[in-house]
Amino acid sequence: MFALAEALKMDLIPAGLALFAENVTLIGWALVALAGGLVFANGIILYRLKTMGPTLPRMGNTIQLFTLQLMPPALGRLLLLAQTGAILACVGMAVPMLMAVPVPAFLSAGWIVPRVQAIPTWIVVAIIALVVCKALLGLMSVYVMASGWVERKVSAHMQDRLGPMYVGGWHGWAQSIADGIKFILKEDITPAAADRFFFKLAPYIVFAGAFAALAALPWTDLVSSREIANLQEAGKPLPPGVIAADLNIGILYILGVTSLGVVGIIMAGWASNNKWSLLGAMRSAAQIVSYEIPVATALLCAVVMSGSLSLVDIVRDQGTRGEILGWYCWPWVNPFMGIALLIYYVGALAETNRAPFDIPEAESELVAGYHTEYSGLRFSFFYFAEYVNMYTCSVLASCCFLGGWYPNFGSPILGAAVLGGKALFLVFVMMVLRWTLPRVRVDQLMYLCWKVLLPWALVCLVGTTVWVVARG
Amino acid sequence: MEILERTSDVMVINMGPQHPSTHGVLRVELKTDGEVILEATPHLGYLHRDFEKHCEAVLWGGVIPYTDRMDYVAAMNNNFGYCLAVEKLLGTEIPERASVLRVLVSELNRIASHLLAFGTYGIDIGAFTPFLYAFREREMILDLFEHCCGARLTYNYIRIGGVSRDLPPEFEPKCRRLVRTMREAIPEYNNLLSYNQIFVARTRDIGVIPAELAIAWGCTGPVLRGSGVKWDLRKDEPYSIYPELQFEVPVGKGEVGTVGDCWDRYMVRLREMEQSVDLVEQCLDRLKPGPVMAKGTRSVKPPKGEVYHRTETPRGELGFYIVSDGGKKAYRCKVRSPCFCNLSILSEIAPGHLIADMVALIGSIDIVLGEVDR
Repeated sequence: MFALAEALKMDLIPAGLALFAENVTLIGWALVALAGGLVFANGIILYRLKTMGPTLPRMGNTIQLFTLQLMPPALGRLLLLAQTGAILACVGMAVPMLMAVPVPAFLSAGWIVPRVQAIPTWIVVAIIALVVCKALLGLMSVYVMASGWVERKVSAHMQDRLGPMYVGGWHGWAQSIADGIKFILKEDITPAAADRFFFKLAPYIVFAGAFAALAALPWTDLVSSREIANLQEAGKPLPPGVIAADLNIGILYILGVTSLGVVGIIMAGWASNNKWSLLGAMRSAAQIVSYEIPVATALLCAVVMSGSLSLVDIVRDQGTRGEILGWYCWPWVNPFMGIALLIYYVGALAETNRAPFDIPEAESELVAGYHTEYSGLRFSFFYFAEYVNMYTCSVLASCCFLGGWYPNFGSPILGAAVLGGKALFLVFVMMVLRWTLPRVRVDQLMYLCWKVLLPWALVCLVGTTVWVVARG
Repeated sequence: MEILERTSDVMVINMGPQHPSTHGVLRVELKTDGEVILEATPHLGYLHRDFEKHCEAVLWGGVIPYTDRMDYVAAMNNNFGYCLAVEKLLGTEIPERASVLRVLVSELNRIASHLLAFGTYGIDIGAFTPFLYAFREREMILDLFEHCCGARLTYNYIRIGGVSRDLPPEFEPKCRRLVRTMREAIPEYNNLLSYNQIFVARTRDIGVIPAELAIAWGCTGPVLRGSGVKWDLRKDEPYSIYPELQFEVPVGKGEVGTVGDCWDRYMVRLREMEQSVDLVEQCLDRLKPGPVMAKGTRSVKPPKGEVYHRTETPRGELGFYIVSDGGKKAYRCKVRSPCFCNLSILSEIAPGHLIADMVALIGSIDIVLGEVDR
């Protein structure tokens, strides 16, 4: 990380800025084009604001117009102001550049480069970290919105209906965006008798727990399995995988931070001052804490197989065994790993509070469980966390049992697509299960955990260990 | 005073009146220890609309729309029960076609009502999809009723002396299509929900009502038959054309658990739907042209006297006790509501179960609060 930051600081950023300084005129034209585009967009917005009287016209397909339909007038005006400001700024910057007036000192390469190189490395590291966080957040937002829409469509088609069909035009593709905007605009209610501090804190903790796990999830690899095998033979160090932080205790870290969510859930249930919320929180605590044991034990099997807690190493180990035939879940690789995969998947369903184990938010029993009292954006934090958790669990299952990004034929992009495809398929299975199965009862859930999954997980762990030792 | 001896505190929870699984505005006051229910007290009356007093204020025929609004998911059966009671007092002879039509629509409504019970029971147990499958078929039945009388929920179709109007010609083919659809749909429901391992685990041995207890509390309908008692007024005290029709009375046998558990009550309803489909088909075969309204029943004045008549609605024994003083209006109209009696057993059965079981229990009793409160 620090090496990367140092390289950025010394070479890349100064070079980019020097390029910027040399092409000031070109950039001036780009700014003019941008300002023109903004003027055009503003014109459309102004026109829509004028024509949107008490009888709203049927909106077209573009998101912008659709957003305006939902926006309160004040927000619309604010947007207009911001856009006008942007136009003025563009014009203000472009005019001196195009007039070829002497380039201001702060735009010349000679001024920039030494100042950039003087920035302390830790600030660059922090900026990189922020950018990565932002990228992950953006990626996950897109994923959550897309899977929210897919879940609606999957459930609708399973239930002989159409699901969202209107918003955005094609099969209601913008429904999730509309819902997101709705969440933002809704009133944020804190019940009068709630413990205000913890009530407001809880969604952030749930969200943070789900989100922090993404740091240690791998996305793809830059080298092929053959190259890895060659490097290992030569005893050379392996290049890093594409992962935000390749921790040597990756799995342990993910298990740790995802269980942070349960603290937030208990906090939400307790602080809501609602008995149904409290019951939901209690169920959730019992459930998540219990299911972590079989889940962790099942994952330990993969650790035993690969000899590493790092997810990148685990996947690479499978790749060197064979890009398709070397996945841990195949019986010829290890007969116990298939069972471990099943145990892990069932446990993951319970850990993410998905049906048939959605008892903490059992709608028909506990109204909405621990998030009964939450509305608007705070509710959407819980929703977001649930979908991110589903993704995390699916990626873990893919990496530890289903070969991760293999087969990738050495292409990082193909690898990312393969891993994403496997994970999204597992998410899809979770959706299908949710709309098929009834809900188990709280005592049956505990029975399943302690008397069925845990013994089998232990059998798998011992079996895997014996298998690994016996086969050398 | 077993409660006081426990070390943990007792929590009082109000389940309802706004709760997803109380099937209306029922409030059950639960005393729980954790999730275990120690005491359950149903509080009624949130939907009380003074039905019985209204009956004394409107003409004899004007009561029928009020009966629609008691058990609003089986309005035809309520119409039927009331009209039979008044006709018993009048001594009217009903035309053959009208009688067949009445049985036809009330059996159709029994299917619609049981479909709703089946679908919402799925939701109670946590499976949402069966509900929409059930509504798909129920929609066909509501369309048929729309053909009969223009209404989809509160029909006012069965009148004193017959039915309000004859069927349109497109009714019969549509109804036969429904019969075919239902015969395919019921096995589908069984595959999807009835024999699902989780569903069976959730409902077997839960909320067991022994036969003696069910009789002692006055339970009727699928709740009584679920406990293994073969008691169906259509067979045991037949009315209208039921004696001429062929059908079975399904009872709970404890296939997956104890006799009288939630699964048995649930299954009785599914099997009754099969029987009702047969009955609908028999009625369609018996339809012959003819009048649908007896003469001289436009404005009735039953002779002085009193009568009690009971019929088998989807929820059990619906009885009308009517007193006439010979006038244009009823002197007194008392309703024996099956839901009210069935619901009363809740406080007897619920203690010792979990909150999740409470939901399964209320769903398996299948109450309609419109009829409980009237």
